[in-house]
Amino acid sequence: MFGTLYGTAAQPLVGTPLTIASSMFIFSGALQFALIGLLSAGAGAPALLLTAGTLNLRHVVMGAVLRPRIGGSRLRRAGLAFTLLDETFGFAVAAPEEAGAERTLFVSGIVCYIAWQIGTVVGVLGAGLSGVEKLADAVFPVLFIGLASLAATTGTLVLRAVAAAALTAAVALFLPDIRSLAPVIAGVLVALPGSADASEAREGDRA
Amino acid sequence: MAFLPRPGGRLEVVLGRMPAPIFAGLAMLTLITEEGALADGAVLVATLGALIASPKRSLAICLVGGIVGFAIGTLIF
Repeated sequence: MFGTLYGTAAQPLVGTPLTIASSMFIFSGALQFALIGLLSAGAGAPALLLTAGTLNLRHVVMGAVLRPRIGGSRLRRAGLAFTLLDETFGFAVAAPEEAGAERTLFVSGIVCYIAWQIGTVVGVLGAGLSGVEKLADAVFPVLFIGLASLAATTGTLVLRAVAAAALTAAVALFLPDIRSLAPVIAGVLVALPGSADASEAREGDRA
Repeated sequence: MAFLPRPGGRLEVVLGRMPAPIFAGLAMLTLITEEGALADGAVLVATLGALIASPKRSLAICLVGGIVGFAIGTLIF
């Protein structure tokens, strides 16, 4: 759905080849929508690059969270990192041990990649999805709540999750320029307090 | 993910605590528009449905809760 919305929005601004190429090589919904917004506002290259860097900073933390679950060579991990999205991160963290975080990240990433490319092409071809936009908006909060419930295996983790949601809301409302970083900032801040007892984290890992 | 060494000790503990808060933050972020307004009513009711189902700790049940909530929200709003 979102790929189609992106294709529909981007094609008049940057043309068909660049729209499709951006989805193939950038493969980041938040960043691509932000770039289109900036381009339509007449922003130059520095603003585009700064936005790209800022928006993707959260992947440093997500990569660090996944790192204990991901093995193999640096090249292999770099390849897997291309499939790291908010959603695939969630699936990989929540993956049962037998499925494996690596395989889950790879498979969900490939599925998302293919869907994003098909959606972009459909959007470029002029399809409209106005009837289901509201449903698309509802998918992500529901998905992330489901993933949070899987990962919050203890009362303490539930409390940390609730605190992070409140912090995210505060950052989004009062510091809108860094709203895309809000979940990661909140996640780091609420994870820091407490002892170094690994039992809580290990229980979380079993989610 | 490609360049960091495998973390250990306290860092691993702290990293292990992060997924649930990050997901909760992402859920919250999707409910606030870039203009600082709340999401559409049907989306909020869908979220409430997922929250009610969340103690079951099942992604499928949360999705069902969200779908039911969305249907109810669409009727209301």
